[in-house]
Amino acid sequence: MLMLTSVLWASPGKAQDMSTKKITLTLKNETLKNALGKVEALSGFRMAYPPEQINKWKNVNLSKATRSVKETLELLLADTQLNFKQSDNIIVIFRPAEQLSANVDTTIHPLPAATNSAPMRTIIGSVVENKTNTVLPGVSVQVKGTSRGTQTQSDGTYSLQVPANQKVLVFSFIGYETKEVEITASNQTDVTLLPASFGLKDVVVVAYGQQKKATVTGAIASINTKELVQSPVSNLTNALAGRLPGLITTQRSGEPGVDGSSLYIRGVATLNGASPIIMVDGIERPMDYVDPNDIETLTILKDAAATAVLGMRGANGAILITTKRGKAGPPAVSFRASTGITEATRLPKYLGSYDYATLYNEALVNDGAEPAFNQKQLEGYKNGSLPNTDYYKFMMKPSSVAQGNLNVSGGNNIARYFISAGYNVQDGIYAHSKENADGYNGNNNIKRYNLRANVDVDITPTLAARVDIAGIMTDRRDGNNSAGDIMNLANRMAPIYPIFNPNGSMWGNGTFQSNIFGELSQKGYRRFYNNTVQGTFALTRKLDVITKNLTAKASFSYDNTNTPSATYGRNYAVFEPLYDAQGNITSYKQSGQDTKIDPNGSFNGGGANRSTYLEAVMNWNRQFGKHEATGMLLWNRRLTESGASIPKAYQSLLFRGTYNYMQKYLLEVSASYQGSENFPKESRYGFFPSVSAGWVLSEENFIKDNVSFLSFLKIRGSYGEVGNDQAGDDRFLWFTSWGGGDPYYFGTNAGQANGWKQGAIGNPGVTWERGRQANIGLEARLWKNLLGITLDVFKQRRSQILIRRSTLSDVFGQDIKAQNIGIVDNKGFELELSHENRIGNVTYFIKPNVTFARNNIVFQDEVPQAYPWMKRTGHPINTKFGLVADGFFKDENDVKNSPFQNFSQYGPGDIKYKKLTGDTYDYIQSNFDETAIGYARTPEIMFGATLGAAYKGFDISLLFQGATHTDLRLENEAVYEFFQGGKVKPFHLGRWTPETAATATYPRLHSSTNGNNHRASSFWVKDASYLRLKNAEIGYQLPKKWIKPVGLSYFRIYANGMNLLTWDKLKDYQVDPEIGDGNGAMYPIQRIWNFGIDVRF
Amino acid sequence: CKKGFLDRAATTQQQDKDIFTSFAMTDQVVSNLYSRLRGAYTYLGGYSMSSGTDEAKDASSWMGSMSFNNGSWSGANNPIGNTWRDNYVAIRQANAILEGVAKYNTPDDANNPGALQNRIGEVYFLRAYYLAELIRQYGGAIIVTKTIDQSDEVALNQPRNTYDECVAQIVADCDEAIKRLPVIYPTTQVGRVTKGTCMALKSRMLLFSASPLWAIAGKTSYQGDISTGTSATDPEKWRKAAAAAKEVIDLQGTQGAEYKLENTLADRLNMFTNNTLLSKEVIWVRMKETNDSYDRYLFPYGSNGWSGCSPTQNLVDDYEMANGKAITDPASGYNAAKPYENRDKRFYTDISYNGAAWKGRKIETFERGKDEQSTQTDHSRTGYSCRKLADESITINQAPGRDVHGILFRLAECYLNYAEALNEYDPGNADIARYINLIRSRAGQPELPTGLGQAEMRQRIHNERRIELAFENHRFWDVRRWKIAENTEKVIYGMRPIADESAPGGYRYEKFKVEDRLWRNAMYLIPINTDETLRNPKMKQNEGW
Repeated sequence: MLMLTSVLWASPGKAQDMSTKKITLTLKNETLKNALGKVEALSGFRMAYPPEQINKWKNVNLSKATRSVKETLELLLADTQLNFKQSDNIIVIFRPAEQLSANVDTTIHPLPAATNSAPMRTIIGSVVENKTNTVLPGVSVQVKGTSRGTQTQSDGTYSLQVPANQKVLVFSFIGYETKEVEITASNQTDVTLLPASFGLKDVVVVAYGQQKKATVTGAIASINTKELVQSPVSNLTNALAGRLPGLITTQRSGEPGVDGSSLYIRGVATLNGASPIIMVDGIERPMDYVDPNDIETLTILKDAAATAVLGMRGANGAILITTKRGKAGPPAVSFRASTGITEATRLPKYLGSYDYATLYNEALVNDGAEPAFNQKQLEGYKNGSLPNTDYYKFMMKPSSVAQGNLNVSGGNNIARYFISAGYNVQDGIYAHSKENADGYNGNNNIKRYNLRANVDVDITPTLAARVDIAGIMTDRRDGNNSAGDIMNLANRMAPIYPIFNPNGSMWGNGTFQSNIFGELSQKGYRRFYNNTVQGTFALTRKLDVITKNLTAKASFSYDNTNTPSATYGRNYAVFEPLYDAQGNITSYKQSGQDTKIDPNGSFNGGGANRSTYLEAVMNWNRQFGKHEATGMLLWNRRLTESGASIPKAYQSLLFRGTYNYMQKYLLEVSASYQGSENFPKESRYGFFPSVSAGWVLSEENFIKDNVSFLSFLKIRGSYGEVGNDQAGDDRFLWFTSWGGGDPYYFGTNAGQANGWKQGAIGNPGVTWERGRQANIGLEARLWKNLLGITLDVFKQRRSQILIRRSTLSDVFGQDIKAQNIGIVDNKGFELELSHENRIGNVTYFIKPNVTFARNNIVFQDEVPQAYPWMKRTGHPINTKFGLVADGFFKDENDVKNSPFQNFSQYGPGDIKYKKLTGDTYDYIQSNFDETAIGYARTPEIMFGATLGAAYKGFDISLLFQGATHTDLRLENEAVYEFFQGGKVKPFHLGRWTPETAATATYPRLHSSTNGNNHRASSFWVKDASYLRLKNAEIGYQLPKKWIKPVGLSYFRIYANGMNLLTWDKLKDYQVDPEIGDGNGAMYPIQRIWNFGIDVRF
Repeated sequence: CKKGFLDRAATTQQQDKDIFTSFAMTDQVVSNLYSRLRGAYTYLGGYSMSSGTDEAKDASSWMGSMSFNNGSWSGANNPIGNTWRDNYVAIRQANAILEGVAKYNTPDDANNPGALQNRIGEVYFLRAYYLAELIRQYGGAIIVTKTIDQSDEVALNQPRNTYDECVAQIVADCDEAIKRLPVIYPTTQVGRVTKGTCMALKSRMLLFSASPLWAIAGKTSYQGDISTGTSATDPEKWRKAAAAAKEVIDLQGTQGAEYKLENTLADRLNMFTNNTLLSKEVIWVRMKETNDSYDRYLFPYGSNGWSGCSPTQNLVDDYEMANGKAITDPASGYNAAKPYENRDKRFYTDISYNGAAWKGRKIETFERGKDEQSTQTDHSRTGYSCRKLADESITINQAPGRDVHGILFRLAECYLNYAEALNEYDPGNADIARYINLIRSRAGQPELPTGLGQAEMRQRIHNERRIELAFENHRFWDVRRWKIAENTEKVIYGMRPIADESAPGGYRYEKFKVEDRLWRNAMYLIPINTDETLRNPKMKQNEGW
């Protein structure tokens, strides 16, 4: 009789060979059973043996040596009558006689069990996921028609005693199609399960854990690696636009290394910091430079049910990133590399010299001055004998990006690993940046290096350890000036000025000491480093001894970020030609000095951030018949030190419990009790509860029986209270303290006398901001996969927002720290639809989503306004205010008969404003005639749609993304004519002149800043709605038969692009629709064309 | 949870008690109170207040003076800055010191007994000075003599006091200060408030209070009399103003009169640059108001300057001929073809013009000249540059630089204050001409003719003040308190030399209009920050804003 014990099986795959696998082992007076156990542990093989045969043998000795598994076993079994052989990852030990006598190898004979008279056999095997070969733990395995059953273990294996007369096993797992398998003569039955349908296969990541998507009751959205890696960007925040319903993104700059997007979940709902909390692998960490290839999933948490456990950090929502982990199996190697070309999506255009000079003359005349350019000069500009400089053409060139990632994952049922190395480089688009004597390159550039090792080790069957180490290094360079400076120069310098003089020197004078070539190439360079190391160590202990499925985990993390920088700066001289009466250059007048880079440089230690995090958590889950419940109790403590400031500290105790009945009626309760050092003792801790419930209607018989097209329907709702502790950089709000102030000077040698002053007045009792949030959601799938719907409707109120009083009279004479007084409402919805289908050999999908979030300031202690239309309260945050432009003054009569405008002198052709004050004032002034004239810059509506199709090896996908309900107000160089010596754009040609009065699109020109026209008014507010082809990717997967001979399992080539097309209403301004309000000095957003390969071994 | 993990805040941070139980700390708070002084030369957001008047014009269109000139200033845009708030911040600090010293019984300086009383006197004066700053700009303000609690709605929302109540408060605080202050400090303490400083402030504010804008209106209102045309004044107010000015003049130091005019024009020029802290003419300065960046602001384009504060033709025309006659006087000998010959000597020390010697070369304001008159950035828009406050020995962007200690009060002002006030209630008093002539003779100008009537004398005093105190942050306030801005702030002229070989000196001079300025009588006062008038329902905005 043979009995197999220890029936955990490694997942199938490429088995190791016992004759080549080496182990080192030494034994002294061991039992054979223990000896085999050690071999098992060391080799990764599983041993199957008849215990009654093995137990006989004791006092086994083995001298220390490295031998193959086969040799080891031969030595150990030499004295016994036992033989062995390898079968996949299992070594079966048997008595040769038995083997011969039995019909079939390793067939189990009935167990002499007291309780069961029927003959039993033990079936072992493993369950894996169909596509990915991932092992599936927790799969229910049942003998069909009986109550006999078990679940797969954490490594996906199972063993079950099956009555000999039973022939069918039923494998079922939520999210997967149930499978019935007939038992063959073999006692090993491996099964692969097919995902039941798209979208539900996953467990989803939630704060401090995971949940089954089908039974989640909070508002959550997620995406995975595949979508993230489609964007060839160095900053992860730029890969998210349009992909996640509920996420609002804005990218204000395209400068390598400083181009991160602002992310808001459900918009901006507070007068304070509205950024969501970002967590990577359960710990608050920045996400910007995480390698997308390392990411398993990225999830956003939107409602209180999902974020209440985050306490006073959760009110703005959360972004959770989970990195990949190893799975048991042979090493899986994945390599991805791509390279591409990058260029500006759009560059400002300015008029050339002739138009410039003509318009400038016109402007001067309008201002009552004499023209500055004579006919001869105009002629020269026209025929090209005088300078006509196009700065953008001079300073920009296409550039390159590249990225690569190599990762390996694998392991066995004892240890599993995921290791990864990534590289990303993005070059700036400045031309000429290398043209200097020193040979440095002043072009912007960022290089990012990522290293990661995520390791899981099962120390014993009940104790597991996890070690994650990640290194993120970025190395950024610029030309020792900000992009703003360069863009401002390019936006300001009139085309009539040359870049170079006839003798080759750089042109400039006392006014224009900056030369575009000099700024690009002669200023030296700066290096900015970001050295981040993140490490986590965790131990998980199964506590089934206390109660089933109870685990305890303790983890510790230490993150360290240093951001030093080095400046290698120099200055350059510019020269202005001096002419004689004949117009010949006699000499040059120098401004500025050429200097050299200081060999010792200048170094700045930069920021130093250290965070430690401690967590202890108990997890429990249990199924009682049709009832399922889970519970989690977690304590954590976080300490963040930044530079030399007093550390920031949090600690919290939090709880989450879920319950469902037949996966049909769902209930979840969660709460956290959290404290921050930033508040005074009496108001330091807060309690943040939430409750949510769901009802899976599609599980009800009345739906199942009557509405056949409805494959899945869940409605859910949540309500809870979350907090926000952000109040700018100001800390310790309850304190009034004294500190250094401006010094003064006394004595005939003006010696310094230090100054000291009282700081802002503190407010005892300040506490966190409250966020009460309600959410109702619906998830449905109709006609199998033809239509999927996820709809969420939410309403939030933030109160106790920490802001400073605005109504305190200035006679008070001192600043006051923030108080808990602001109130903001926010409401909106998110809708995502999906459609997936196959027609012939073509599979395709369409997945559009839309997010709408509108906030409303309820209270902000606003200065009492003289007139209701001036009130900011009652409008969304950052609503634009200004005068209402009412066309242009037609003629002198129009000027005379209209209310006086108190800004600067004006006349026909200047902007006419609406007077809102009725009879109270006889003139228009900015104080009382300004009203809401436009949306805030952060959009209220964001939408996106991914479309994809695959045919045989080909695939294509597109992401359209856009935003609306957002307005842009540009000023200064970006739109005002001749702003402070600046220039003009093509749309200025539409200016008002007496002749074009009827059709003019721009007011009369002025030669410098004009107080009447150049001020906040609706004239300058433009609808900044846009639609982009944000991403497009086309790929081809080489047929297996081509790549198999070279040892590859997967080979895909692809081309993708980013920001390929943009449709918007800002053509006049020639700016990107995501540009910020202001002077338009923005490093252009980049369009990228990229080509790459994706290989797996 | 372990107790104390969240107790991170430094409970050791300084509180009131820690400050006021220490002389050294209290002294530092007083120093910081001084640092809030706005300098006279950079009063307008870092640049000259002169460019907001008919004295000068800035070259860069982004400077605050442009708002004054084109009329785009308002309660939401005070080109000087948010001075309503700034001054109340300073006043609160003064009150906090006075209260703190009383409450915590601050010890005197062990090494320098009496220093504490000096500091208290200085704080009294500074409280008065910051209130004076408020009423100079806005008219009657709110008198605050204690630190207000944020929940004290009554104190926070008071109506404005009348102008004269504010002046009385200033005078009272100055008198408190005078009791505690010395006439002179040792050289290591120069820059501190002295008895003379207090008297000079009294002189200035009483003169303001007696002037047409405030003489009658100020008695009952925070609002000045902004009606068009002249307004009656009150002889009693003039008498007080004259007495206050005379007190400064008569203040005795260790060797007779404490203050003396510099002897020569060269010494006077030196007083503005190198000798500020040692000059006996100087009563009080804003220490380290600015540095050689001010020279860059003033210097002409050809010397790498910004041509800021370019004098106007309006001002140039008001310089007398060397014979003491106005150029409009046919007997003056003024020759429009040679406009810069035989003028008041202060014209040559205070203003750079085409052909003037400057840093070893000649000023060239003609077309294509080094200092070309032009509307381009950093070019003089008027054809002149300010020389009085510039240090010719400086080379822009080259070390060594210099510190500029801006003069807030000097003796010449007090002479002019005295003469002006005296002429209004006691015309014909010999002191009037006497003190004006002291200033004139220092400049090499002949004495005033005898037998001038009151109005003629007033005209001469006004003009003397215009010339002597040019660019020192007086004109903006004088044209207001005299109520003449409605005439002076209208059109600004410049002078453009045109190369012409037939003209004497090779240049023909063409007077041209630089700009029209926008004037409304409401502009006699600066509007209070609009938000502030809305926060405090009892506080009214100035008329017309």
